[in-house]
Amino acid sequence: MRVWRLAIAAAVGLLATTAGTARAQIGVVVSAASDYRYRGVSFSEGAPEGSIAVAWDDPGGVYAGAEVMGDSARGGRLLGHMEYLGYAKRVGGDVTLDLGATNIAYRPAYGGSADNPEVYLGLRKGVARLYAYYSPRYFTPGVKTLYLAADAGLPLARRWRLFGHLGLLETLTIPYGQAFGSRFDGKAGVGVNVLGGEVQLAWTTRRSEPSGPVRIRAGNALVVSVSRGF
Amino acid sequence: MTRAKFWALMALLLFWLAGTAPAVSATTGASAPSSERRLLVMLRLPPDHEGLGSDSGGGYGESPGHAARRRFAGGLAKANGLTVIDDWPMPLLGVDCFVMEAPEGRSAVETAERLSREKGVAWAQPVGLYRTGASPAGDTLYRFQPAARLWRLADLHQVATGRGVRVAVVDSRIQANHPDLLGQIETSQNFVTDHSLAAERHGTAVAGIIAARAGEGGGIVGVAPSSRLMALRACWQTGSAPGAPTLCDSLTLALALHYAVEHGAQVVNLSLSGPPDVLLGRLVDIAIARGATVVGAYDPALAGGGFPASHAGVVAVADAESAEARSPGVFAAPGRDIPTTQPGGRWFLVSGDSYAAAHVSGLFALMRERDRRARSGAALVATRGGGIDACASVLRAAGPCACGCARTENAVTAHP
Repeated sequence: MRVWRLAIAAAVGLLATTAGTARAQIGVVVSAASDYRYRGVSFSEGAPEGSIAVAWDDPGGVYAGAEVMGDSARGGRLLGHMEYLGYAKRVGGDVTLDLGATNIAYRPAYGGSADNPEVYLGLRKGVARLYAYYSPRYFTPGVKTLYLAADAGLPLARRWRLFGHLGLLETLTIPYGQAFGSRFDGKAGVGVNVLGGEVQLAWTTRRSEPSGPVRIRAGNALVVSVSRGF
Repeated sequence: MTRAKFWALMALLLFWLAGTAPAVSATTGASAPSSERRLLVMLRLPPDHEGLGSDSGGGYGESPGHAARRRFAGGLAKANGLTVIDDWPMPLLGVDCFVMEAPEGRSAVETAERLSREKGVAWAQPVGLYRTGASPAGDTLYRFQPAARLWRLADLHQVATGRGVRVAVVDSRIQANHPDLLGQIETSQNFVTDHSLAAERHGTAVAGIIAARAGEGGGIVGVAPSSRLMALRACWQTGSAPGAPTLCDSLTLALALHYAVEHGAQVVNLSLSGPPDVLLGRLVDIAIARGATVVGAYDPALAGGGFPASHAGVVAVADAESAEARSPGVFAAPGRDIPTTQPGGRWFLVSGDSYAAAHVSGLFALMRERDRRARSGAALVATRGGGIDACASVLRAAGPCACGCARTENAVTAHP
């Protein structure tokens, strides 16, 4: 956790030192969703959640951000938080190389907490992107994973878009003889930009129930969300 | 909080969106009447990256970066008495293009200069107005096209027909179901606000010269009948009278060019002219850097032939029968009394540098079918009279062959 705290501190430091310059762009997004799903798994146990996020972007390519989530099942109390820090560079044409680190921490309703620190490397081209994430501790100490994700967003009209996501989680190291297999997750939906924000309707799915120590809700779900940046 | 409370909260959030949404119109591009008061303000666009807004995580619609730029643009607009009309991210240029409108009586040029000096603004510019260089010349179809004789189209088509080459026609609306254009248009996009669905003369005429299909339409044959057209509407016809001009502006052209580059156009036809423009110039540079051939019509009324003809790397083309066809660096092509496709499934004769440019765009499609490296004006071969030797140009791209074009008797020299 110490590394991640340092990373967050570095991000906050960057924000603080550049907040006064017009070059860096700082945005805040407030959102609400009928369910908080992370790679097909509900962190809010099917309950609605709300979140607030702040992101910092330097046109030179360095970026950082943090988000806190609260869910209705626990009276809006903290559900989790996420931080990231990375660097993206256009490497010719419309291809962008993206690398960075992220951490998402999650507090199950029955107590305790789990987190997933990851480093990632991705390629983005046009509407498509491919990412690989390596985690030394995928919500469980000793569980090392590789997550491969393919995403695409297809503009339908000026304010409408279709988006899709396919993910594959491979467990590299399994402690205590636990049975973690390959897991697939998918997401497809439509987003519409209205009145300066976006409303999304997405269908998410996850194949194979994980058997980790944390109790989770997975399977298929239809998620409605609305977000607004300012 | 219960689910009911959540949905109530969501409704409140939507209500809040409605109350705090900036004055951004839901329209596309720009229309002629207010173009002179509009300006384009470019904010730097960081490279796209992982994080909030990514679908692999929670998945937000609006990216915080975009929200930040929108907020910054709103602040700029407020401080300068402007209205934000719309915004268009242009990742190819690394900018987010905000369209703003100055109040009545305010100079868009001066406002743009002032905004260009603001921190965080890459540059700002007024919206330039462009027009197509063409005039209708009658209503009777000639039995023979000038290019059929001067460029020996039948012989050219033994060597190449433009198969597999994508040609972007940045122009007014093309009649896609014209008998000579049926099946020739691969993609069609509209970047003009008016939502008009009516086919327009200039775009339809240019498309026919480039890619009218051979054998089945019963009308004309395009220079590159097997090429695939990208019909990108960036211009609008200002009336139904035969002489009504066709206009475009910086924004609509930029959106169309951006689309053309993003979608791999190999030839970009710009049968139009207007003032030099930073945004358009950069997009043309990117198009050329990515290997596209950009063909522009030479306008004798503007310095250097106007933009885009005067822009470095653009193949500038004039009507072979005009005086400007002999200007250095200008290529001459048929542009007088050209029978071509027109709205309503008809054919008319047209004249102008626009149509000369369309001929050369078609010619490049032929050359690029045979040699992808045939991209610039240097790939064209000139006749002694200063025109383009189409056969020699295609043969140079194709290499030796035993086709009709090989019998060309014109002396071949490199164009100056």
